[in-house]
Amino acid sequence: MTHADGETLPADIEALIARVLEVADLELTDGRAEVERELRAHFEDGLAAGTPPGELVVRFGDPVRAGRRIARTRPRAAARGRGERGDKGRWWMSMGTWTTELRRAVRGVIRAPAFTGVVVLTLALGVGVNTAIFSVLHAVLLQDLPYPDPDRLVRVYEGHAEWGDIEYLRAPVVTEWRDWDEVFTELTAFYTYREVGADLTDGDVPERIDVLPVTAGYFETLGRAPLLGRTFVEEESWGPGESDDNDVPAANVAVISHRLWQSRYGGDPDMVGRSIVLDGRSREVVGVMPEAFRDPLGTPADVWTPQDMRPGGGNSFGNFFLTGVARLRDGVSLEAAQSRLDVLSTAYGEAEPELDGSRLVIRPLQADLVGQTRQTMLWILAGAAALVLLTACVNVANLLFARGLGQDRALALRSALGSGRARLVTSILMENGILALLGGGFGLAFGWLGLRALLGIAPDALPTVTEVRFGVPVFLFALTVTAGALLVFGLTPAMRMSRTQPADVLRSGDRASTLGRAARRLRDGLVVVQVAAALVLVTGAILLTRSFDRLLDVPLVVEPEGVYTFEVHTPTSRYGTPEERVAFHRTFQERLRALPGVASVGAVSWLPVNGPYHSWGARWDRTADDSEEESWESTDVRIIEGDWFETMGIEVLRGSRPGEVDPDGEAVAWLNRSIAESLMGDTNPIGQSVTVGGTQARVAGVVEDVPVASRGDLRPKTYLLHAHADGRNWALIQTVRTNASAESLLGGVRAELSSLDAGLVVYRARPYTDVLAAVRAQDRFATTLMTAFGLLALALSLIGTYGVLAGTVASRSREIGIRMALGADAGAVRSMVLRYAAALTVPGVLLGTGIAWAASRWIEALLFGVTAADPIAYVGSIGVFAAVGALAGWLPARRATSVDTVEVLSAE
Amino acid sequence: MTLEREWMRGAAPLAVLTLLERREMYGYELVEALERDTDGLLAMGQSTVYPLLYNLEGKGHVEAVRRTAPSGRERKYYRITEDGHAWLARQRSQWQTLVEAMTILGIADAEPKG
Repeated sequence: MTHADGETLPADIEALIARVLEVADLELTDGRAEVERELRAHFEDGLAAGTPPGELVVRFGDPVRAGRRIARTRPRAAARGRGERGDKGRWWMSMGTWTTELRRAVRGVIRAPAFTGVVVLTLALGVGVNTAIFSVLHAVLLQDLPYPDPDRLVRVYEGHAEWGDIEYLRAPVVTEWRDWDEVFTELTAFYTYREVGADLTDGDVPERIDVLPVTAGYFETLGRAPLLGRTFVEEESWGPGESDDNDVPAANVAVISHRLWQSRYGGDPDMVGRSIVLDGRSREVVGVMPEAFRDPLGTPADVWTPQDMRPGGGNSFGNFFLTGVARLRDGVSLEAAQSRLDVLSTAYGEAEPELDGSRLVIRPLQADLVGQTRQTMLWILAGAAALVLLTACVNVANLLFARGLGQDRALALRSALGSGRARLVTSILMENGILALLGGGFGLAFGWLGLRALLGIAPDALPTVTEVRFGVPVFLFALTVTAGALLVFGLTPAMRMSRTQPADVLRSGDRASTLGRAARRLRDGLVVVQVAAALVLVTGAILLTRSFDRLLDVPLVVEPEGVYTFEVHTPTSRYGTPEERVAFHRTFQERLRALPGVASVGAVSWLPVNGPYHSWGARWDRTADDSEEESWESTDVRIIEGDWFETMGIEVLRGSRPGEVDPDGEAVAWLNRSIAESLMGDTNPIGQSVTVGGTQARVAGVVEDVPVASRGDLRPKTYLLHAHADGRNWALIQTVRTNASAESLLGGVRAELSSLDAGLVVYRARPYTDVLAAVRAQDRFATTLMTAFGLLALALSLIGTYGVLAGTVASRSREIGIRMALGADAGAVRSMVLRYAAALTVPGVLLGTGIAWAASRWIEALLFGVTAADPIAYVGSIGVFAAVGALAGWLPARRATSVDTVEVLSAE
Repeated sequence: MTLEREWMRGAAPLAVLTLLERREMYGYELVEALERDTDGLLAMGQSTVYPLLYNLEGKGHVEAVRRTAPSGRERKYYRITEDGHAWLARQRSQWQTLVEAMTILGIADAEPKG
């Protein structure tokens, strides 16, 4: 290798020469060219003698000192001052140095695309996952409800020592309590069974909307004033006269939502005073609520109407149907309020026997909305996300350790060239800072996408009253943690540099440097922690997946495939009598049955496996012996029309099917197996008389139990024919069993409906399987997320373990080469590597299993059909991590034994 | 073992001039010779050799000429001047005196290490 004048020398040497000249600060008249030529000649001669460039650089010594001394030999240069002092030990740098460092850092990041990619991806995943899940957690659990003084708001129930459960409120109880303002400043109630909805028909196109009947004081309790007009006044709920359920409301007024005001009425400034036609009844709009207003419970309403609270009709002591919300008086604690309520309830009960000894029970509104299980679920998922963050940080740390070793030579060189420690630290900080920024940027994108994905899969799993926003503080926190890890662990090479002589590092030739004992322990410890954290997550994921599997295995009795559901509501204004409504449904179903592909058609007041609804009482009327006590049983009541059992695939165990009885004859009822057994025991129920919700009916049949919820809970259930039910305007949900496609079925349904009554709307059309999916939404949400977290942590810990083992094997390749040259066989070397793999994974697995075991009681609340101590989950995750250890060890072990002894030993 | 800076400061010019007294040399040659012929004792950082040469050149103890080295490349050769010879002789006698004094004090050995 020859170097003529002007030829380029190795970069290290070029940098050194430039540095000397820079410090010497020579001008042309000072013989700069001559000095340069001589320095170049020096190194050319050295290279020609076969000395490695690194060695030449070391032997040359400090370029700063050389530069300064050269300057002193040149009077003019010396006279110009002392020249560049070099920056050893200096903590400030010139602007130019900053730019140089920044450029160097950017180059460093670009030159190692694989390293950069893995670090940025790891950071982004950790930051993104945490930002998304904590944004949800913040909105649902931590953020205040969107009302003034939200901690004063409570949900109100009725409770009774003998009931076992709390109940909705009865209208007379609400009316009584409103006058007692010792505890509450406001008490409001609203209609619980609000899924009725209504048809809005005052425009060109009829629209189905959600209506919530509320008592006067509803908006005041929540502390929200209307944007336009007013809210409801006392007389509109508690006016003169009696309630007769459907026919004449206490007042024909309505308050509408901002959304409806804008979308349907174009934001008409004169909206107040206008009339809207709701279910064929004209109502005067008295107010418009602001855009930000949210109902605390259920889906957001488009129209609020006054709940009729006048005595009579359903407003009796027998009807638990109102949801109560109240605002506590200032300075009254929850406990004080509850104990005062107990005293007042007792006094009230003495005056009012029909109260039946019930008392008011209050719960903080926010906790009530979220629910204990959901709260537990979110905290567990948040904990899981934090563990993902931990494994991500550990990975970044280990990657930096590995990279730091590779950087030692470059740093040593720069140190030898006169860069001070400050400058080296700055340089590393810049490079890692760029990685942190990139990771943060991608993390921001991941977090945003993740949040959207979460909200996409969670509409049925999360309450909607608070708005879920992107959590900026969470993002910053996660970014700080990961970037902090990046910066702290990234600095270790610089710290190590300060303890070793750069010359030693450079002289060590191409051998990769190795970590000190303490650093190695720290690195191994981090891997152990990472394996433990990942194992906890994988165990949780297996538990939840198994639980969800069990959930899917719950026999639902119904046959959901091929069943399509939709609603058609008959407005009371045009279908004024029960007979008209029954006739409409019969005709409509008759036409549906004739559609191509339709096997059977039925309708029901509430779909099965969709939660409890209309919990009433059923009484067995024993005619034989009046002296016997009445038998009474709480039961869910369903109103059916048509071949509903057949459509849903529910077996009629005894007696007749709905098609076999005279619908216009004596009232009949079907009992499910549970209530038939608990109410009548061994007596044959067929032909017995029962009274359900005020309707006396003869038992026509017994049907199979259908779970009331996804977890398979059974409840007593009684079915009444639509024609025999009380005279209210029942909102029936049509169910059609068909082998036709959804499009062709709905096309046919719409055509038939418009030929029957063009003013009616097909509403909430969906396959029944979608309804079941929504019922399992929360379990699916938890399972999906936990599985994703578990897989993520698993992948990260696999990368982490592999990275450490591979790095160790690489740095010990010389030692391994010597061992093999001295006769160690491949098996011994391989087992040495695998033993190291075991030393990393086994403690991690033990630690993780211990933590998972200790933490299992929290997850218990989310499990179904599986205990938190489920051996399969533990054995499974231990097996997974044994495989991780084996896999992470196997590849480096193979590489170790394929080390070329000669090559390694002659590498010097 | 390497010498402390203060000793090097005194010894280095003497060593360089002594080597150049034998024959003229270019930079790298001189650096190598310094290391080799002093058992590495005077293997001062090479970075100090060039400033030292420039310094001696400035004082007139050495002079430089450009000529082709055996490798075929042009090099800057340094050779000792008359001034340099005279100065070296004075320095030598001073060192000699110093060594004798040190020997009497028992700081230096009478016989140099073999």
